[in-house]
Amino acid sequence: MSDAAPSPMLEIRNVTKRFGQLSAVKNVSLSISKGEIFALLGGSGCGKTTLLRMMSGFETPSEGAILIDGEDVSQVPPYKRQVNMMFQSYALFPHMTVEQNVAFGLKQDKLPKAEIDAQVEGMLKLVHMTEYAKRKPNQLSGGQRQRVALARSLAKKPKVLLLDEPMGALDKKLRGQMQLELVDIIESVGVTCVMVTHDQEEAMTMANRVSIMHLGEIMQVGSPSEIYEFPNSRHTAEFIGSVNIFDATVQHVGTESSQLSSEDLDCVLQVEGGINALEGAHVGVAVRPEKIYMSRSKPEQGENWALGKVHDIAYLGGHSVYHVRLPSGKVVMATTTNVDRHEQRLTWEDDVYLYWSASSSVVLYQ
Amino acid sequence: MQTGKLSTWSKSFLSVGFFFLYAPILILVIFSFNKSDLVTVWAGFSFKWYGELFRDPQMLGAAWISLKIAVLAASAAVVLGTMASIVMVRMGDFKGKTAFTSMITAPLVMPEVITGLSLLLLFVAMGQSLGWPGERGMLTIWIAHVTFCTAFVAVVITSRLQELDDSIEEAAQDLGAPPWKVFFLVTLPIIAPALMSGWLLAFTLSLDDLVIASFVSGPGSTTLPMAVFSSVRMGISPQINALATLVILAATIAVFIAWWFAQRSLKSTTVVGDD
Repeated sequence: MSDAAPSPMLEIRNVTKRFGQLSAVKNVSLSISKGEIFALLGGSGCGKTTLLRMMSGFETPSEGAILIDGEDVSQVPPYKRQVNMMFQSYALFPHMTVEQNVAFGLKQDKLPKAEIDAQVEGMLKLVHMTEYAKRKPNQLSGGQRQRVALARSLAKKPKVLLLDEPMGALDKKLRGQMQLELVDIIESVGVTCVMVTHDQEEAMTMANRVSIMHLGEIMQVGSPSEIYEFPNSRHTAEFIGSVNIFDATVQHVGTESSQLSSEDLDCVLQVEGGINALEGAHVGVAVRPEKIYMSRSKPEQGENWALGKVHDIAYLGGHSVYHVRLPSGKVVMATTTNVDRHEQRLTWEDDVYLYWSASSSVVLYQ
Repeated sequence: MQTGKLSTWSKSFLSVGFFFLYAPILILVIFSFNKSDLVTVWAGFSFKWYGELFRDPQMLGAAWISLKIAVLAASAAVVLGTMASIVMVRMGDFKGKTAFTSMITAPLVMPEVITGLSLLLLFVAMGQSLGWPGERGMLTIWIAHVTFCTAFVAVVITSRLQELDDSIEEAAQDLGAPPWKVFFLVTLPIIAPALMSGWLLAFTLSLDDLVIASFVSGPGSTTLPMAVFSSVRMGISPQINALATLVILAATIAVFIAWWFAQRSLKSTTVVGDD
């Protein structure tokens, strides 16, 4: 495969990081190609920040290697790596102006003054901060500070840009706007980017590829839609979005479709294709709430349905989430889009039929 | 804080408190402009004693020595205090950190008499066994003052360093500055106001120290507080009032400058007007 894939810009090879007895990162391998925006997504304490700090050089791996553009940098200190980071707190230098902040990295490279000035001007233009060049960081708003931090970390044209919780210090409304703006800037520069976040929406909006981390290990790597539609474990399915998981037993494995049974359902659970397990094995069957239909009359299909009572309704404006309690006691979530303003909607304690297609369910083995 | 009218009770307590604290000082300042030779009898306004003071070579000599010692001691204390603070705040956990931290700040609570006596014993023992310091004088006073001033400076700078976000220094490293350059280009400018107020604090502490200086001074190195104290024992001359007034003025200016620097550093690091 020498001619096929271009060599990755950033490669993590079997990296483990231990702090005393504790392993923060366990045998992680990743390969990130040039120009990609890659997100490390996970809850607090999952090791994502430690992994990022190893990429930037603030931590050294206990085992394994980190390669940037084919060169092993595991032992190279942060000030000698062609990697720049945008910190969660932005970490702007409070005693310097916006201009001086952006110029700081270039001055360390001892570039001629004219070149530094041109580069700083270009960077400030890129992030639309030219008119604020003479201001100090404490005279800027949160969003403006973030732009300066971004300009500063891009000024040295790093091979890899690292973003640590890029929207962590912004309020919710500003986030949505800055997410897209950030992606536009990063893509226009064409830099390879690795971001760390605990916010799945942020990761899915910004990244080309997402990896889910849990307890120091990588659970799944894929595009946002792959991870959402085809989760490979209960943890991933539950971490990204909401999901209904039925505990099921494999009844019949076929090539076109396979059947399972669940104590929560009276009918048969049917999934597309085969199952990688023997008959009688216990697995989970996941169905996303927006893939479940609701109706007052019994559906025509003989499988993948249930009758329940509306237990709770969360009206969210654009859509509503119905919590339907099945006779077994299990609560299933179903989402409907509120298309019609005057629609006679289902209400509390109504009997309702739930049904979904075989292609909507995903079998989870672990 | 609530602003409103104080009750009569609170007001009278406040005035009693202020009177207790500041009346003696006020009286001293007033009497420094006294024409009379007697300290306690008012005989009209004059600058006579200020003139006398500036013609007294002994007092002026002592003041000059004190000033030199204070400047040198404050400067050395700031350098050592900064180093100690960085070790305490930035070096992470090391073996004996607790012992180190408490030993740095021990001189804060140590009675001056004990500090002075122990330093005197040390200097005598060293003089006998090593031949250095040969005799006590400005050098030994300077060393003694650096010792206790460092403790105060370390406290001031430590608290400033603890507030400083680690990631600012990391960002500088990330942008290509090796650690020593990060210190001079980023850390030092940010904590500069704390260094300044630490220096001023050390300067005033050194300037008015009597006890420790008395233990470790030698012939020909009389500091201003020592000169004042010995002249007062002969009987209070109105000249001392004039001198004291000048010292109060100098201390007030120093405190004001220190406060101004502290305010400025507070303003430049706190976030104003977030959106």
